[in-house]
Amino acid sequence: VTEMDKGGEFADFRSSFLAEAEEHLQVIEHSVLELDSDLQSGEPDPRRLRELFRAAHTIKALAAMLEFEPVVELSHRMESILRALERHSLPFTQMVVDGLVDGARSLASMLDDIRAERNLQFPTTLLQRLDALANLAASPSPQQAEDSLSGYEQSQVDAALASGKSVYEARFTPTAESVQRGISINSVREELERQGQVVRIRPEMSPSGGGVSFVLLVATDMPASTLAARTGLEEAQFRAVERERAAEQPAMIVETSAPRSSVVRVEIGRLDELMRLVGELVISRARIARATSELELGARRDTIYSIQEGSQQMERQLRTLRDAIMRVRIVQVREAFGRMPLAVRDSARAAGKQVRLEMSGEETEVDKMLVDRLIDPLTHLVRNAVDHGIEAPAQRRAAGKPEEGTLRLSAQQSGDWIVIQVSDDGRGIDRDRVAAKAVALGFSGEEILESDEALLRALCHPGLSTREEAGRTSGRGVGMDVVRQRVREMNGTLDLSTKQGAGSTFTLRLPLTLIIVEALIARSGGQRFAIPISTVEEVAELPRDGIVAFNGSRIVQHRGEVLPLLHLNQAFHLREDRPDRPYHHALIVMVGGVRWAVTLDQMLGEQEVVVKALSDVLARTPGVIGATDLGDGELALILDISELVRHYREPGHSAAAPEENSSARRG
Amino acid sequence: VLDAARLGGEEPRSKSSQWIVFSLDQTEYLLRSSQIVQIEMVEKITPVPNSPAFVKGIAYLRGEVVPVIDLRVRLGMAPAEGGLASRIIVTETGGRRVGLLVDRARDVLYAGEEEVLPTPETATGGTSQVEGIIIRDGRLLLVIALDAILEADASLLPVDAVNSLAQELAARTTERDQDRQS
Repeated sequence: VTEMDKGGEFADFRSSFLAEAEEHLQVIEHSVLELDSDLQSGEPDPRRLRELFRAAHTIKALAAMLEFEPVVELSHRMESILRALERHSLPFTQMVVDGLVDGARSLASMLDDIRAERNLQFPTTLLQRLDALANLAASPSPQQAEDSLSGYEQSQVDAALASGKSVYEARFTPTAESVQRGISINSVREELERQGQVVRIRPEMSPSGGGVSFVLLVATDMPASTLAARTGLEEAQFRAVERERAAEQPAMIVETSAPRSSVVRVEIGRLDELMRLVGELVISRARIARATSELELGARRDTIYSIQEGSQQMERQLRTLRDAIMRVRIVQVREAFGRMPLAVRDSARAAGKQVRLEMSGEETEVDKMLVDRLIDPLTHLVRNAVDHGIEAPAQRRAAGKPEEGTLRLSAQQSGDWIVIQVSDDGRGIDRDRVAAKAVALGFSGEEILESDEALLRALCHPGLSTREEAGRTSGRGVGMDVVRQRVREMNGTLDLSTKQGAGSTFTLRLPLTLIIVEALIARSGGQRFAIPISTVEEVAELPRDGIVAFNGSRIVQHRGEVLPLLHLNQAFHLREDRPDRPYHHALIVMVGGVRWAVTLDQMLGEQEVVVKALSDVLARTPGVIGATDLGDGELALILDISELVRHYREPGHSAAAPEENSSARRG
Repeated sequence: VLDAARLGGEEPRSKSSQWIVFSLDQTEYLLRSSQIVQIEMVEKITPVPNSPAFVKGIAYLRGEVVPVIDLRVRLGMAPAEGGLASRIIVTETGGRRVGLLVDRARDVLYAGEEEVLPTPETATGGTSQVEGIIIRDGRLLLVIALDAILEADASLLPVDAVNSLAQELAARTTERDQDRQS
């Protein structure tokens, strides 16, 4: 029925279409907002118009090749409006800019649909609106008015096509000759009514100039030849309206959140580098293969050297190859930030607020996968800040602030991490209100009043992201709990600092790459664990007799400081391997501003590990962010020390460690 | 789902579905082969601390981390001892991949969906992890309700009821075997 089959070749085209179209869409989204600010000066920047025109035009051309008709139609109209603006034949007004902004938004959602392999719908209302705008231009293009059907007309065309009928567009220009033959618009219409159903009759200035033409749209079972014969028109005057003109049949609404383009553009130089490295690996392998075959003739010292050397060489090469591949995956965080101005504009408009968005560090480089996963939580935080953080202009004035609120979005690299902050100068989070609600969910109200960390934990509780909390735009099914979950899936952390009356700052710390981390490997309770090295300040040996039980918990002295202490084995109900040793191995970690000691049985060493997510609910447990294969087929759990401490430090958790439970589980 | 199972079988012309037969103690169970990705020897399973008791742990199977359920514990029996015959049946449903640790998994059975008889109410108390029974050559085979088994909340399942059903069936099977031998 539709061109959007799932054939392999088409899928290839689709992904490269998406990759390219998305780049141009970013240009459009960005420039269209700039146009919005140009409104104040009353003049659009001509360079910007040309940039926009080029982007819209390219999208149109790409979409036409793959027959994404709704995209073609929409970008075509945006193009016409831009051209009219450039020629000053269309007044530069808010209405026009709004039309373009909505066009950009609709393009974005169509690209989403294409990505998710959903059928495309014609944005009929928007198309008509854009047509109306284009008609304001001094020289209206007849072509465009022709294309727009009303929703009802469109539905009739769709229904007819769907039921196997044909739809024809007939153009009838009364001439002296036709009058002589007794053919008038009335006779044509009556005859067509008999043969089928006339959907629309539209008079139009004849293209040749002078008289009036009529364009009739008819749905019928008859072939064009019959219609021509009956009406006395030429067969050539009937043009079949193809399915392309009709909206696709309504797709099932399946909410798959398709990841954004999974395509990365790679400089050819980087690929060459990869090829070169693979070539080196092949040589190393050949060297080892030769040496092993020599071994069959008897082990000689230099043969063994040769193998050892080859193995070392391969190790180095693999490392370089891995780094090179990681570089291929690197993109700028701009890909995520670039989506935010539109989100801010939408929310600010809907809420009647004035918001200035300041962005910095867009050029920070991160893993492509991370950027893709960042968009949703970031959008939510940004919308939240506009909806709930920044006050209405009047309120701000009353509070002695400028009417326009400021939303800052920043990214910066810090070691192996990227730190992203969303910060507003709004009213801050109302602790009292959150505390009042959260108490019912078992939180300590006092803690919420005192600590930002406790406040954030409460905010991230699914029970608190109620509909009442969620504003019109931020309430799109993504609550703070989901934000936290997403950040967690990226092995990142989320922090909050907020001050009543002065605003809030959310800080996301994410590992630059999701895939490979340098980790400490430890053994505890007969099981191996990996701990990302970047989360650990120090590895220490703590004498057992230095540990003091205090107020239901344990503390230990280390480097002149008193640290709270957590036994991993107790938290995880594991049996200690080395109870005979006079000391513990411990990780010194910083959690929420407090330095902790986490003991485990034995440190084994350091290793780079490939992180595998533990996504299934059955495998999830607090304090564990993933698993990794240490090279022998047995998985080791990767610990999130900070979550481990947060979860198990609560009195009650650490105390209750029933031995029989642990033995049953280990059996 | 049913249609897919039928089409997915090796004999598209017949109306049969393909089922995998596995056993726990003396009782035989069935899973639709359309729900099964692979059957693996038991290698190394890493325990996940503080997970439900029936979660044996996670295993690395063909490049993927898969949680493994000890089906014996899930159904209220003593934990698996892990003999040579035990297998991990890797299932896939609702986008999830979960392994089921079973004592043996050897046979394939062809049977139409219409052969699935309802479980006697009395035995299972209404809801259960057994969705029906197939009787073939005098053998009773219990069709596992996979979705219920994969539910993370153990309290949903009346373990005792299924347990007694399983024991009852085991007893009958033993009797039958004895009859045959005599």
